[in-house]
Amino acid sequence: MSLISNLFVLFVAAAVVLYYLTPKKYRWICLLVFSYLYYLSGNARYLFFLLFSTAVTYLCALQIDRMQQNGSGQKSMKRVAALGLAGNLGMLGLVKYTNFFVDNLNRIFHMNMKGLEVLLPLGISFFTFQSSGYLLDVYWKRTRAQRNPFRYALFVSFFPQLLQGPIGNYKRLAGQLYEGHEFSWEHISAGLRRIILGFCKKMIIADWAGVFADAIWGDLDRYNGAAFFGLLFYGIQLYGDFSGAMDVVIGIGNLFGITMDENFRRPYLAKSMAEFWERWHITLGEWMKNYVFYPISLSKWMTRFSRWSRQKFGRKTGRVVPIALADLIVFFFVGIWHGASWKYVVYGLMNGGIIAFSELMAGQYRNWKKALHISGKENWYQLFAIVRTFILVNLRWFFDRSDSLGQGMYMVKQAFTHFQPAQILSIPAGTGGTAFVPWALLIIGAGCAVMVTAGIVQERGGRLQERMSCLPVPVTAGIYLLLLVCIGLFGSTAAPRGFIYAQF
Amino acid sequence: MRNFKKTVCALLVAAAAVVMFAGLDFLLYPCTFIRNDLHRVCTEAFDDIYVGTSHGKINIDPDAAREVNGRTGHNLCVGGEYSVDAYYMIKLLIEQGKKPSRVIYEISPAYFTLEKEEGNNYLLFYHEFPFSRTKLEYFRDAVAKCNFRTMLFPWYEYSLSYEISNMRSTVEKKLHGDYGIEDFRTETQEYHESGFVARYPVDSSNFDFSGIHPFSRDEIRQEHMDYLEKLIDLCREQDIAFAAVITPVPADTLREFSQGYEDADSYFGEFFKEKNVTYINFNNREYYKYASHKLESYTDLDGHMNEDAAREFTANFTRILDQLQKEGTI
Repeated sequence: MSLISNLFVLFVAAAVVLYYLTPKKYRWICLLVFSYLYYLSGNARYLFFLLFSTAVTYLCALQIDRMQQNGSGQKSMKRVAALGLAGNLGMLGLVKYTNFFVDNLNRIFHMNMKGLEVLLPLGISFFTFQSSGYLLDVYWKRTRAQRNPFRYALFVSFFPQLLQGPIGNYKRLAGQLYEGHEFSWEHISAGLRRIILGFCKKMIIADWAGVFADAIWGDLDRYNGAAFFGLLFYGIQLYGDFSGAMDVVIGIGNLFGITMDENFRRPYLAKSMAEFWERWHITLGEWMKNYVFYPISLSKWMTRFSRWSRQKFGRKTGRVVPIALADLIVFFFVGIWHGASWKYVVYGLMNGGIIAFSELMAGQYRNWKKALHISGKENWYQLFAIVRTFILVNLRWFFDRSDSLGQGMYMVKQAFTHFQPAQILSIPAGTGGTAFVPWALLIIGAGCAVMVTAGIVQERGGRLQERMSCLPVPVTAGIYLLLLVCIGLFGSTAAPRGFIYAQF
Repeated sequence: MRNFKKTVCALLVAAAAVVMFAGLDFLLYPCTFIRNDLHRVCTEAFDDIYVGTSHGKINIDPDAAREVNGRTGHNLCVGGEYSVDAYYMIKLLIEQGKKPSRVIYEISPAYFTLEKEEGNNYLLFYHEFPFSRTKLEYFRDAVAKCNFRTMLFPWYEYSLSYEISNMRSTVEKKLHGDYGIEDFRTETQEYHESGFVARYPVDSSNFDFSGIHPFSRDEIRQEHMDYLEKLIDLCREQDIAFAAVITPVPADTLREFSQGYEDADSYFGEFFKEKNVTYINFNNREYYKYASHKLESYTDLDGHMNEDAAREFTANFTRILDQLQKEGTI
């Protein structure tokens, strides 16, 4: 059930009405029922994976909690946690990466092994990470285990976030799910406003940009001169699509009085790659930081490596080398989380490589800036940093968008050896063919201008949403109804596209 | 008190939204010939109803059929019409008490291998359905999965410039319940009240094969076959005679895509035989001679005829159909 379908709109409406009609004490049950109905509507066969992930992490977390209360040894608890993680992430690995390994083994050893014939269960990358995070939180005593299996099942399966995140943190989310929220028009209007904004981003900006990105990537020989534009359009599409989806998801949460974690904070205004990852897919970044980066950084072998590094490279550099290594490892995982393909490995390592390089060079950069009398607070420098990061960020999309590593390399080559921007005007953008191109480009341009302006205002401390909610109701309602109509007037008329991250 | 105020306010906003959506729909959704078609078949009963694709719309003239057998008929075919649409249109006629005595389904084999795109492909019909149980069922089975713009802004796929340039005529037609057909005449074709679209003859020397999708039984999409079966069953339940026809295409096209046409004939031949339905394919050996396959009879290589050829073909087709009915095959 796509987030943009009529059925989903009616489904959410029914869920909201029934939620508030149910006695407060049982409202979480209503959410659980709707969440499972939602998952079942996708493909009932994959329910097993959701149930398995829920059951394994629930039982292991409960066992760890009991052992903590009984004062059992750390080793036994570690074993249970490892068992839970192995079961949960092992399931993810099995369905997501088996065929990748089989393909590579076949290629290397000229074998003919068969892979698994299984479609990736919907949302598996999100719910396995969410439940693994919970298990580790219990293990590290950040939270107590949930004793009620049905309540825990709701935490893993809450339907708005099930397919695309944000990856929820148990401490912040679970309590809100179980609490029967009072009906409030403020929640409803905040939710609707957020949903409308999300649909605008998706259908007006992302879907139009997607038409051009898909056309260029779909016919590389014909549009090889527009590779850079393909990259730019993909960057716009991905941001509009994913952050639009998050707006819709968070808005739906608001309808139930639930505040979910934000996943985006104006990422294209980041001044460094590390900052970009604090603004883009924030919950994945946070998950990686909490459950991969810190455990690696604080591990025994890393401590030993750190000592060795300081002896080898001196105090300053030696201190940074282990962090850079941990970054590379983290972004390797970020890469393969996105998909089982070498292009994602390269994509992840590119991110990690840039961040690690920046960390290693940080001292040098400081020296250069000092020598050039740049404090870093100058407007022109801030703009330079934003543009530099934007270019770096976009260059990585070559590998994210391409079908394979080879295609990504081909696109890089084409971008730097052929540049014929006029090719873009020959892309059939809508049902009317090329006649739509200037119109579509104008819409994308205007949409981006609005987003960038709003972003800059917010970046400077302007609270647009809050200001809007202070306006008289007829004015606010008029503005948002107008935005809604804009989806009809200016939304992409090409074949509708699903959400990109719903495929993970 | 504060909550009451807020509730009233929310209701007012919701009412304003509904009025705005309805108003925009009234102003912007153009009056298509499907509006005429559905209005006509819902207000007047016909003996024969033709459903199918653009091949049926352009190649079958109900007036030419009436000249042969005196039976009244209306052509409900249109490009982009799949079996799901045909099924619900016939169901609507039954619900509206305008049940035909015979349904003729024009089969374009390639349609059964293509995914029906969401949006206008459904709205073309759904938008014109009068409020009814069938409309709700059609929504549940087909429109519900489409993006929400189909519900709020059914006009979204038409270009704004087209909508604005037609706004005056759209409003006048809707306001006065005008179903005139003058607006449906273009440089290449004209729409008739019988639902038939007559194409003017064109120079055949510029024809090319682009845009023709050859049939392959391996690509059949089961959902289309399911609705075709449902339509046959519905007609049988309602005691409506049912026949299927594949209209002729130029000999050049048959040669170019011979494998696809033979595959289609054998696939649908077997299917209709199993369903005990009369099936006439004017591209197979049995009926080839009853239609013109010369290029001059067509307006493209895909098999859309010009008006004269279509009328002649319809007359021949009707005679064959009536003969089969007389023999009790239908």
